[in-house]
Amino acid sequence: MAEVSIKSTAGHGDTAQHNSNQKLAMWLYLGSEVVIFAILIGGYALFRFNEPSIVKRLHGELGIALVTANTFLLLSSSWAMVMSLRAAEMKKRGEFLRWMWVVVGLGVVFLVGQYIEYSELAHLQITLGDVTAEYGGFGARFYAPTAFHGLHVLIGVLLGLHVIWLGNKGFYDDNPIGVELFGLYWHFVDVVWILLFTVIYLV
Amino acid sequence: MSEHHTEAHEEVHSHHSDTVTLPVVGTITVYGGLYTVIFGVLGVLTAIEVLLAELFKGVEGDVANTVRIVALFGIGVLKAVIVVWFYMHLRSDNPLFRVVLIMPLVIVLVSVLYLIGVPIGEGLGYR
Repeated sequence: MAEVSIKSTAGHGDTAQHNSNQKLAMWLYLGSEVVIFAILIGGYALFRFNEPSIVKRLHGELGIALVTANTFLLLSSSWAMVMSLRAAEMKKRGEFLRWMWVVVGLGVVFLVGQYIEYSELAHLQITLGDVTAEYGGFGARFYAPTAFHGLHVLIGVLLGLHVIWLGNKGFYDDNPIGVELFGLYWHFVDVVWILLFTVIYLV
Repeated sequence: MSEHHTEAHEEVHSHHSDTVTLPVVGTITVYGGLYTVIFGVLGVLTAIEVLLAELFKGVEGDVANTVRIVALFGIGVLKAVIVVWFYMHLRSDNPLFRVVLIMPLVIVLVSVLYLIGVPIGEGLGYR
């Protein structure tokens, strides 16, 4: 009697294509985010070049110690994220989850740092509207990109917790594409901060 | 299985290694391999950036100021590219993703430059 075996056509190749499609979708989303952040950063850059004295005075008042620490935090979280994905790909669930907790933790600390910075700006009466003539126009151009970025970090923290929750249940054991997709989002948030840090605080 | 997928698959596994070969330095073994090395590079670049910004903060003159700004922008962009290239795996993934990332940026930059450069009331003749 002849043995008939039906070989499944679904396998590694289909999963790879599915993963690639999902990554394309994430990159398309990030492409749209590039447009938004480029316009917001461009708006600040324009203000910076038109009102250099206002920005110079503010740099003197605030200093850059806090934001530099925040930058290192986010860079560290990016490293932790890629280490997390690496562990997930190596099927080391415990290590993957521990690194994810580091990512989320650093994200929370970054948000605390942003809150402290916003408090310092509030003391200087720098708000969204042009309340004081001394720093007139700075508020809106500053808060728009940084607060929008902060919102992305907050959403990232929540998404990270969701990834941890799913990872704990073994969701990514066979295919860590979800971790990679979150990683793309988180690294993008870090890239935006790298550029914001340079344009707003250093230049 | 496509050739591209095979290359990406090999790239993924090479990133799992703690051993990395660097120019000048040679082969080193560090936990996290290339990712940790990249993290170190980003940290150093950030430190250089901050030092550059602080040491030359009160620099006088248009030329000196321009050099400072260009240097800071250059380092910032370099850091961003490093994160995108290595951490976001753009170097080993489908080249289409690079187009998806770069094209919106180019369109926005061109649009913004047009809006800045063209005086109000002119441009395409619309008033």
